[in-house]
Amino acid sequence: MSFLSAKFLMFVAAVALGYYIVPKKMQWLVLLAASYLFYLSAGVKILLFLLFSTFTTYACAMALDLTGRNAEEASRNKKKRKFFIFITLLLNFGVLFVLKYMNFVLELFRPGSDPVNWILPLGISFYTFQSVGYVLDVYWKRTEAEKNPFRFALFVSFFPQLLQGPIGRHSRLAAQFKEPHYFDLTRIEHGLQRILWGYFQKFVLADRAGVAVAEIFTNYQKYGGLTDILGVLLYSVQLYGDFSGGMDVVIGVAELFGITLDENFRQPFFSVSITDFWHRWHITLGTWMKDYLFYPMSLSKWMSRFGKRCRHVFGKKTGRILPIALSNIIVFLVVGIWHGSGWKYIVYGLYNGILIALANLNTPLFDSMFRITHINPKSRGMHVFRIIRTFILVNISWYFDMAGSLSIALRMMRDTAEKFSFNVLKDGTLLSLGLKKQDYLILLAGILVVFVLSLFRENGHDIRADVDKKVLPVRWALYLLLFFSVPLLGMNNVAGGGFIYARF
Amino acid sequence: MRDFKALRAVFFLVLCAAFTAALNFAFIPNSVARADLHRVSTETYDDLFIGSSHSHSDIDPLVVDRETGRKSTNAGMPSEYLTDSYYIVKLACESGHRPKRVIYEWDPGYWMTEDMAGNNPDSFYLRFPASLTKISYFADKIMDMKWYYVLEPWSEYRNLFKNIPATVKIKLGKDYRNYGTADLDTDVKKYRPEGFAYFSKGTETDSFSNVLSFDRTKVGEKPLQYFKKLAGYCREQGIEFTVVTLPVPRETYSALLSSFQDAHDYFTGIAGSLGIPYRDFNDLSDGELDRQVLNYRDYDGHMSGELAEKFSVILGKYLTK
Repeated sequence: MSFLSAKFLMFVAAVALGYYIVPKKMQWLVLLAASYLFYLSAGVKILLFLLFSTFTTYACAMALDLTGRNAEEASRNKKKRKFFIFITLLLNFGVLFVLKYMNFVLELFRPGSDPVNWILPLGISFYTFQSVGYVLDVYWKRTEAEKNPFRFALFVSFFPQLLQGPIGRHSRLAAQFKEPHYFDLTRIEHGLQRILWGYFQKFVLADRAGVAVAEIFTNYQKYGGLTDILGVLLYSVQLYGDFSGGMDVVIGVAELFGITLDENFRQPFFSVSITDFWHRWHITLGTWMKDYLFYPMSLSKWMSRFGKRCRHVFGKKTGRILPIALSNIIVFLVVGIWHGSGWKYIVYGLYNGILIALANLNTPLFDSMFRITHINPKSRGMHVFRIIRTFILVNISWYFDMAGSLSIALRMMRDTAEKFSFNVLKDGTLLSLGLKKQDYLILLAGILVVFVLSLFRENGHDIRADVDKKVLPVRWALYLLLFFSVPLLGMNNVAGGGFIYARF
Repeated sequence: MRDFKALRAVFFLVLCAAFTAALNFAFIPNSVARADLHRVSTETYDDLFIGSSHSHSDIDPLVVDRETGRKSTNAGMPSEYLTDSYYIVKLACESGHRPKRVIYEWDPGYWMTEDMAGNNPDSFYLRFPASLTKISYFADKIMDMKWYYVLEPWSEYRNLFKNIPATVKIKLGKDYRNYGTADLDTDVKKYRPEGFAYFSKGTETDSFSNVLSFDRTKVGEKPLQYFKKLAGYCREQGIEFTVVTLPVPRETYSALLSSFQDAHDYFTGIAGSLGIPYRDFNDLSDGELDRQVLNYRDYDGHMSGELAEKFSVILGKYLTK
């Protein structure tokens, strides 16, 4: 069931109706039933994977709970507990790996072999990370183990976030599923506001930009120079509109049920560094990596030994930074692999990791440069420069993300430089990419609206609170404008694709 | 306070609905589907033709009736997929006008393309009279469309904003109220009674590029599924069900000979396995029907009115047997 379809909205409306009609104690059961019904609508077979992940992580958490009721018991059962964790991670990541990366591995070790045609269950990357994160939280005593298997099943399968995140934490979600939620029109209004805004970004911006992006990246041989740059810039628009818009829909739908999900975006294109960018883009994946990979790795014994060796060889300052740099490279390698199978994703991850590592290593150098040149690193000009620099670096990474393969990405990069010419602005190329003049105008206007709102948010404005303060006619006019702008300006393709991240 | 809030919310929804109704009225033009579906659900007939634009341009029910001695009507329309045809037949039955026979015109091209990929896939649904069939049609096909096409159908026609004054004028006129199609007539196309479009001879006869070559590997699951559903429904309702393929120009047939032969073999197999009579009129000789492309509207095989009337005699004779 596509989040973009009328069926989905009707489904949400029906679930909401049931949710507020049943006794408060049973509300979570309505959500559980709806979540499984939602997943079942995509096929019976893929439900088995969801059940497998739910069962193994539930069983592991219960085993961890039984073997570690207090510190003494946990210490006594240390080996056993590690074994439980090892098996659970192996099973869950194993299934994910086999389904998602088998063809890549086959191609790597047995080039030319027939690819396997296994189904990739919807949202497997998201629910696997969410449930594995829960197990690790129970292991580290950050959250209580959920005793009720059905409540736990809801945590793993909550339908708004099942397909494209945000990757939730048990410590924040579990309590919300237990609380009673009363029908509140203001909250419904806020949820609908958010859903509409998400659809606006998806239909008006992402789908429109996606037409030219598909043309440029599919027929890359025909283009180069400015057209490739336009393709990459439009991919920024497409990806942001699609993923951030999708998150708005997801968070808005959850809000209708009184459930607050973690935010996944915070004005990412105002980032001043790649590190900052990953604190604002796909935030829940970033924090997942930080909590369950970066910190455990940085604090591990082998990394500590590596740090000591680095300090011995490179001196105190660099020696302290090197283990962090290495951890970042490994984390982003995993982030790259998480995004998909193929060398391009590995390079995409490494590109981000290496940039972050280099930024860490060169911090003393930059500080000296600022001192020598008397440039104030906190000046407004420097801030804008950093934003633009980060934006360019992020856009370079999109070549790897969007191109069909690593070799195509590299070729497109070469063509961008070699075939650079301003002629494309007047020779009609721009109008041969599947977009008309009016589409470009709509894109520009839409981007301007998103930019202005992001700027307000960046400066600490709470747009929703601002809207709430407006008098009723103004608020209604805004809602009507937003509601009717989608059918008026949305891309005109009836079937349309779904959200990009719903394929992960 | 809560009640007041709820009242305001309801009023807001009513406001949205009113805007939507106004926009639908202004943007959505008249369509032959409106007239055809009204006729299908209000008139009585023995034979019901369903199918694509070829049925619409090639079959004149009045001529067919002269041969068969029965009463027929044509509900084959441009962009009508099997999913739509199935619900048109159901609509006829639900409204108490069950035909004795359904004749499905099989256009191979429609089995190879997604019914959601065409223009305005909800154009039939929008013109369906309120009925249980309309609800099941909605649940089956329409609610999978993007929500704004469903809630705001005018959006599919938003590029026709220049036609708004004309559309409004037509909709306020008597012909529209009587389910007429006078405003849809052009210099080359005139709508005749019983769902037949009379085309003048073609000027679009310059290319094969629009002709879709049949490839059985590209046939989706849905057409076959709905074909079986339709056949089963007709059986349940005691309706005779038969299938025909209409003749394309000789030039098109020769150019894509293997494709047409494969289409013939493919469908003969399907119809045979279900025990459904099937007649492919592409075997008509020049003596029986002059199939020069000059007698058609285009290479795709839409007949001129003149040729369609000759063909309808042949079809009528076949249906009499």
